[in-house]
Amino acid sequence: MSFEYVMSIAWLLMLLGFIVGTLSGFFGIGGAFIMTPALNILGFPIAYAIGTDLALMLGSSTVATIRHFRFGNVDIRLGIYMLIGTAVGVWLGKYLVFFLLAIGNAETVIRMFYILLLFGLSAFMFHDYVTFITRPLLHGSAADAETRGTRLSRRLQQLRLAPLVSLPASGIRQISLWVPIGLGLVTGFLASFLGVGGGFIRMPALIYGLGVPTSVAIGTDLFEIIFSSAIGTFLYAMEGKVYLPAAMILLLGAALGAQVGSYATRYVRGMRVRLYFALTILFAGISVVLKQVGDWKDLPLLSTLAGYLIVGVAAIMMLIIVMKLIAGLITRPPHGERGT
Amino acid sequence: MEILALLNTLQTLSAEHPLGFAVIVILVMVTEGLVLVGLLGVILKIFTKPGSRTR
Repeated sequence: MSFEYVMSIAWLLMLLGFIVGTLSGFFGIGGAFIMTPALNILGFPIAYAIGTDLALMLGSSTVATIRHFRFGNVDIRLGIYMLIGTAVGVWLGKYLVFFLLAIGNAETVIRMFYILLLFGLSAFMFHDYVTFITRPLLHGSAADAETRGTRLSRRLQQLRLAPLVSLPASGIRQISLWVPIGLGLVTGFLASFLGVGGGFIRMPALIYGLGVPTSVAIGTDLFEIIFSSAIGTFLYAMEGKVYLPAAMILLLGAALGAQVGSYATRYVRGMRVRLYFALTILFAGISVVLKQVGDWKDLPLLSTLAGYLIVGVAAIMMLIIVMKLIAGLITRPPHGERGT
Repeated sequence: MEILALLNTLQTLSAEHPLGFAVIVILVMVTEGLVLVGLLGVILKIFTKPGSRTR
């Protein structure tokens, strides 16, 4: 990877950064499932693609978290509680991966589980959205649907296991401290087991598991990504696998995109954000399936197609978000503080 | 451009001083993020009329 080559594709890197930054600020994800294959297509060896993407995530999640914090969308207390569980979960996930490696066939098991998780999450969120639009009387207004939470979240909030804490920024009066720690543990375990940042798991987990409003789930997830990406960046940089000039160029676009995405959450209803998110992870799942089939059948073309597919979907999603923001700025004031 | 060229030189030293390189990478990315947030904030303020802010 020469410096001259990176400079020759600087505009492309900035555009790529803008696309991923927009999705990151809008969905509260790191965007590694988009950026890593994209950098790989551009000629970055896979270890450099992951390391450089982690460094980018650190910068862009910092930008997006600051923006969401100003909108009142970051529950720092909840983020810290979850971090405790995440640390333990990451360790347990790593242990399971090593165990699977020892008995063999770990990669296929992990890839299969990843595909199931992506499709499962996508199907669940689609179902949630379809139920919401087809049974308006059951759900009431969009705001009601957001604040009432799910059956699971209501049960977890009723758990009276000391110590009890309050999370006013998330609209939760009292909850057992063990619930956010446990949720962090589960999401950290899954992220570590799958070898991903985990933003796409934590965001729905916060919404459906804890009953946190969509925009607070996005902001709090981004807050967590700062720490997870910092650790990842440090470990990859220690191995010399971060290409710093490329990461800096990517961040120029991503910083702008992260602000655009964060602003757009003020003009798009939480339920609609969930629908776009479900669509994005559905295509991410299809992309992983293509890559897996490509590996099985030894067809590198399918793996390349998988990379183009996810980058193309991300670009379309970015355009939708930008258009929603422009339409919102022209036609209506932003909705409530928590994006209901 | 000069800054990027300087960082590229630093890249070549990463094998000799991995810990230093890792710390610099984290500092550079966070600092760039903070500077860009500030810069974009100033640009937004200039282009946004007083009283018409979204909050």
